[in-house]
Parts: sequence; structure tokens; C-alpha cells
Amino acid sequence: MTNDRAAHAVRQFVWCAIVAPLVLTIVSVAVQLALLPRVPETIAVHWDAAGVANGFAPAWVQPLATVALALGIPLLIALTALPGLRRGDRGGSYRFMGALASAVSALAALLMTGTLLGQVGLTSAEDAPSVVPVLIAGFGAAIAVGVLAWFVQPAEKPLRTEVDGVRPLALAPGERVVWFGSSTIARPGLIAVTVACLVVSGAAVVMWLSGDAVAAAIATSVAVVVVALAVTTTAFRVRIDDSGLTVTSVAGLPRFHVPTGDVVSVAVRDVTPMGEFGGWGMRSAPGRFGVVMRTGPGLDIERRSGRRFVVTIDEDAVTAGALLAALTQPVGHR
Amino acid sequence: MLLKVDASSDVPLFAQIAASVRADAAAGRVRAGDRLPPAREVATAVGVNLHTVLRAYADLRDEGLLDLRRGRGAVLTDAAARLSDVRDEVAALVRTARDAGLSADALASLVKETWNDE
Repeated sequence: MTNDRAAHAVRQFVWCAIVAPLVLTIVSVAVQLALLPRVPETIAVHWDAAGVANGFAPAWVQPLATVALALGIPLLIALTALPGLRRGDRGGSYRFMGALASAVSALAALLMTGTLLGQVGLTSAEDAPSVVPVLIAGFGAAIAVGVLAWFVQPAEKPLRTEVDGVRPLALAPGERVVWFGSSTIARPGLIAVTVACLVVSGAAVVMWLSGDAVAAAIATSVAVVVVALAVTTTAFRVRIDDSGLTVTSVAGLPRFHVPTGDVVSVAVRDVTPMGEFGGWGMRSAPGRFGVVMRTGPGLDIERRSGRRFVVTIDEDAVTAGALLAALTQPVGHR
Repeated sequence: MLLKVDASSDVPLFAQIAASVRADAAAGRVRAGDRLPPAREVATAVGVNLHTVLRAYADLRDEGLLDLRRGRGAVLTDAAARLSDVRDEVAALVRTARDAGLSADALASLVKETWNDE
């Protein structure tokens, strides 16, 4: 019985994030192809704030762009959410992703087709009508589709994974024990981030070479921000010692510290960042904060305030948890 | 990686730290290619002098277990894998010794004696 319901969430997500966008894309591309002979060879693809056309492209770009946006983006969304869903992870984040995929697809399909439709029978793209009506219709449809997709998917709480009661490490009197480890994102993510950094850096270099100082300055700022984010948020060093738990980015900052005295309980368990926190990285959710870099084992610490601190661990989380539990036991019990 | 030092032990602190790293390598908790934390961080965390940790790292480097390089830090060499093999044999030896009724100290003395003979 539970298996049926589990597959249900996945099936509905696939309907919203893959099937619906596919149908929307096919229909809109078919319509656009039928319209192509009747629009100017060069069409308007960008409008200014007043609704006057100011950007142009060959007409055949429209169907291609439709596929890229109305199908490509939903597929990317599905790529990030499906693995977790198929593993059994659930939660509002996944429903939102499904709804977002459908909405984006509807918006792109309507915008692309609507603006092309508006230019049927024109001799020059500059006569293209204002984009505002299409924009309004597009966003309206997107919101409606998004809401529908939200309710088409079931509401299921994230699986509460088995919490291993951690057995504190036995510490001999006079012994000082320290644990060093790390928390980094999984390899596919690491590769994607590295590629992104290379791309933005390369773009900045190209801009400087092109001589356009303003564009170069913007491209450089983007590159600096992207690289700074990549370096500070994708890999952390974890240390457990007498002072408590310290999680420090390999860049030095940011740094998170849970003092020994603040720890009420330590649990070792499998962490699912997507379902519990809505994504990977340094995340805040009701009642908890996490440095959750990948799906896998980690420490779940309850603080005196009641808030939880969660950190995923690359190495042996059980040993780390055992040490933290031993160090944070009330002195009388040691 | 777990580091243990016992202030009340007769064994010098730097030797204890080196032994801890060796034990982790032998158990496979750290592997060839893994980087050890910077000496300064270890010193602060364990509560010892920086030079104590540097001495431990230097000894491990002299043993061939650690590669100390500017900028890259302390990286475990392939010797870590061989250490792991040795540990497996030691585990088997310990089981045999236990069956024969030997204590840990007796076994250790036997190992030392045989070492000098071989």
C-alpha cells in the first residue's frame, strides 16, 4: 500500500515536470512552424518597457528558443529533483519544483507562440505589436498552470529517517581526542560549479579583450561573485574537539560553531537536503539550520534553544557523532 | 580522522600524534592522497604546541607516510595503503597470540626481539 503511494508522488511529478512541458512544447512548436511562412524573415524578439520592439532575430530562432525554454528548463528542474524523489524523499520542495516546471513551460510556450502570432502578415518586424498583452496572458496562464500542477501532486511529508542512537566514545581520563573531517558537495555538483566558474571567468576575459569597458566590468563582477560563492559554500572542514563542533569553509569564512555546552543531543542519520531543507548548501528551515552538502550520513544536533544544527559528513559520521556525544555528556556521567 | 593524545602517558606527545595518524592510516580511515589538517589547526584543537605537531608531521614524512609540500599541506602517500596491509597481518597475529595465551605486552616484546634478529 505504501509502495503505491510512494510511486504516486513520482508519477505526478513526472506528469508536471516532463510530460506537460513536452506536450506544450510540441504543440507550440507545431503552431510556430505552421506560422513561419507568414511572418517576416526577421522577427522581433525583444521589446522595451514601452512595448516597442527593439531586438530582432531570424524567425527560425523562435521554435528553437521554445524548445530550449519550454522543454529545456523543466528537464533541468526534473534532473535536480527526480533522483531524490525516486529514492523516496518527499516534501513541499518537490511539489514546488513540479509546479515551477509546468509554469515555466506554459509561460515560455505562450510567450514564444503569442509574439510570433502577433507578427503574422507583417512585412517588417519593426511593426510588431506591443508584447504587453501576450506577457499578461502568459503570466496568467503560467500561474494557473503552476497552481494546478501543485495540487495535482500529493502532499507528503519528508521521510523521517532512522535516527541511530549514538553510543558515546569511551574516553580514558586525561585523554584528549579530536576528530577532523570534511563536508563537501558530491562530484557532479563539484564539476558543474567548476564549469560555471570557468565559463564566467572566460566570459570576463573575452569582454576585456573586446574593449567594451562597461561590459567587461559587469562580466568581471559576475565572475568575482560566482567564484567567491563557489569557493566559500561548496566545501567545509569539520572539527570536533573540547570546544564543540566547528564547521569552517575551506576559504576560511563562513564559520559555524556549536559550543559543547549548547549541545543537548547528538544523532547520526541519513540526511536528505532536498526534502528537509529544499536544496543543498547552507540552508535554513523551520526549527533547523544545516550545512548540508550531499545526500548521505551526517550529524543532527539539538541545541539548548531547541533549534537543530545539521551537517553532512563525508567520512565516518558514526565516529564523529560518538566523539561529540562523549565530549558533550554532563561531566558527572563521563 | 581521529587524533588521540594522553597527557598522562609516558610517550612523548609528538610520538602519540604520529601514532594516531599511523593508526588511522592503517585502519583505512585516512587513505593515500588524503590531506591532513594544517598543523596549526591540529595544535589548537589538541591543545599542544605547534612545534609538537610539526615534529610529528616531520617524523611521518621521514617514515615516508606523509608528503609535505608548500601550499598543498600534508598529504598521505601510497605508503598508507601498505600500512593498511601490515595492520591486517597484525590483526591475524594478535588472534594467534591470543589463542596461545600471550598478553599484549608479551607479544610486543616478542615482536621487538624478532625485529632485532631478522
